[in-house]
Amino acid sequence: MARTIAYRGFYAVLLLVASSFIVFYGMRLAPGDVADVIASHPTGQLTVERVREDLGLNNPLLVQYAHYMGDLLTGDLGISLITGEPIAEILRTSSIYTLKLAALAALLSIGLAIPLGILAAAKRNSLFDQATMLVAVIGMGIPNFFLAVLLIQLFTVRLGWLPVAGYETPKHIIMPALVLAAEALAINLRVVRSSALEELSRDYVRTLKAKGMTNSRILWVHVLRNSLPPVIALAGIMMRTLLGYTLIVETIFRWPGLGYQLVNAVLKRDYTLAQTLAILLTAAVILFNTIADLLQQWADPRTRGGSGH
Amino acid sequence: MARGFWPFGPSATTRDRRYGATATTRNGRHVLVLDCGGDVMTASGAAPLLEVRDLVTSIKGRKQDLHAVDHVSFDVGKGEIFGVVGESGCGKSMTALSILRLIPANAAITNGSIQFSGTDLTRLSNGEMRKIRGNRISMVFQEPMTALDPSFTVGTQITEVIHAHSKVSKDEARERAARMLDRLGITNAASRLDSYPHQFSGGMRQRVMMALALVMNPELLIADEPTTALDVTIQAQILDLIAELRRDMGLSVLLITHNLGVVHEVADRVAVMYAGEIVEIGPVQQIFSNPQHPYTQGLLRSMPYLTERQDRLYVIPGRVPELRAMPTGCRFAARCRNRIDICTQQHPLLEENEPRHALRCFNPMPYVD
Ligand SMILES: Nc1ncnc2c1ncn2[C@@H]1O[C@H](COP(=O)(O)OP(=O)(O)OP(=O)(O)O)[C@@H](O)[C@H]1O
Ligand code: SF4
Ligand SMILES: [Mg+2]
Repeated sequence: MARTIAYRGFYAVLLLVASSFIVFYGMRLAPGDVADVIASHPTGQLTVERVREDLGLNNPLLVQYAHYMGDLLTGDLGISLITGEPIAEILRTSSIYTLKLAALAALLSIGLAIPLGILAAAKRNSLFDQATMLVAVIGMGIPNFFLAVLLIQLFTVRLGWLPVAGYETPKHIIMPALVLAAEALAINLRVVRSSALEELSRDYVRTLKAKGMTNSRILWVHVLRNSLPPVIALAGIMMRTLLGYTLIVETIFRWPGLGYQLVNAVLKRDYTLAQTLAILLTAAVILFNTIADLLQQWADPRTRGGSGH
Repeated sequence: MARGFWPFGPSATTRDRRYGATATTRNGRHVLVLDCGGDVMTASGAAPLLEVRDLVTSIKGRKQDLHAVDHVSFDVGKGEIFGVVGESGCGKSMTALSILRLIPANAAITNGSIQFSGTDLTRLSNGEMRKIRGNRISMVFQEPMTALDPSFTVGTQITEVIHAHSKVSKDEARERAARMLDRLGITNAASRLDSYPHQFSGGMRQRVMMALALVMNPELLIADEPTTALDVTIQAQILDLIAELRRDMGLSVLLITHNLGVVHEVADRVAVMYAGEIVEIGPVQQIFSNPQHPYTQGLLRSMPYLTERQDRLYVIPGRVPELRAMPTGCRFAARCRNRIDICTQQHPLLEENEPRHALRCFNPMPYVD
């Protein structure tokens, strides 16, 4: 296991270096640059040349990259080029918002998918099963911005139950969390159901019946436990997708998380902020993938190896 | 669950007449007894523990239901090892699973009774049946590699049987599980409780399965091809173990196998099944020294260690008829060397030809090896 962790860790770091460079390079390729933005600021008395010099934008790209990464790794994240706010501060507040939203969405999607998916498998082809699968099909087929519009129509416009945008009250998180969770919930439902169906047909289930186990124990202890590895394997991918979707969902609902900040920063060509956010989000994705990999190996004792002899 | 479970399918009366069954009253209940006499089915010594009578297990087909087990009757006595042999698909597993009512969802017991120390298992509620499984009747299966849950330790899988059927503390259950593993020849039993199934070899896993089956001290063990997946030495060890458990614990065993050698090794009596029916039944010595049914003879002839010439192993020609296309006459007729005219016209009954030995054949012949 230690070997696996070391290997995966090394691989993750390599991936991170490569992706951070691509982000960094990509930012410079985009048309227009921050110097123009700052220099054109109405109150500013700065010339474009002066700004470029100050920001080191005239140095060779590799030097700029090394410089930037060095600062990032020593925890010096710099300030927003536009607002002058420390990036670390922006990161702290907005990451809490994103974390809250993503955690609630993940909890919703997994917490609902497991019991519903297992019940659907146990009652295969029943009305309940068909209803569940219909929800899954809809959840998977519907784009999340469209779902957001539908929910806003229903809960805000028609019923007036939920606020449409902002973050001030607990009610504000409900719609973004639902929209964010929808696809993952749909995918998890299908995965849990098919995994549970497969488990239900295995020989050990017959052994359990022959042992006199109750159906509920067979289902909620044995089948449940054995149906989890694919869900856990997917959890990493799911977290990654969730993070990606936060860009859209946070922007629609103006939820002040990392995604919302990133979209804003890019639109305003706030180089350093956008760059730092993008690299950190990529790092988070890579981290989730790595954790998911390790989790999956741990979840399946057959691939855990060694222990217990 | 028993008779008339499905509205379709041949009525019990017509089938019974064809098989020459007569209705009598036993223990105040209406039961069917084959006309060859209960004697043949009965165990040697004391009262039988298990009495299977006229069991029909049907598989729901598109056009009709197919009889995977067709009017099968036999007894297993207390402390007896009763073998069931036959080629693949003849209904051995279906018979075994019917007893525990674990047949697949598309199958149902449509006729007959299964008396187990005085109660008809086919009439029990699901809850009552569950109390019997793993407790008074348990089963080991062929596949030691997949029959255990891969995600739980062996200890958990054994103790959960104990907890399901008795009120004992966790520690006591663990102790009992360890004692059972030890009894079945697993070294370091107490520490092995924390191992996962994949950490055991095939033979050891089958011992774990046996421990699981025997930990509640059942009266009857149903072993469905318990040694088929194992290599020869381990096979012998498991068979020795079964014989030993019978001797020490008075265990009754229903031993299912396609291997006549296994039956010869440990069983007291044996039923030979062909295409869902019993075609010959009797004490193992008699069946082996004087097989009467051409199918039994063919099986014996195709046994490797009885005919020394292993290079030219005998194979019964032809194939088992499909359930869907069962001949009306003798089901073995298409493959039989002794076939006479009547064989394809009438269905032979299971009839006694010497004490405690019965066969289903119009034209039995002495066995010449
Ligand atoms: N789930 C099922 N659905 C349909 N037919 C089945 C099912 N299980 C068994 N059968 C059929 O029932 C008949 C008896 O099968 P059974 O498993 O009892 O045979 P067996 O004697 O145990 O054979 P083997 O030696 O291969 O285990 C076979 O014709 C088989 O094809
Ligand atoms: S009844 Fe006829 S066909 Fe059937 S086994 Fe006997 S001799 Fe052969
Ligand atoms: Mg079988």
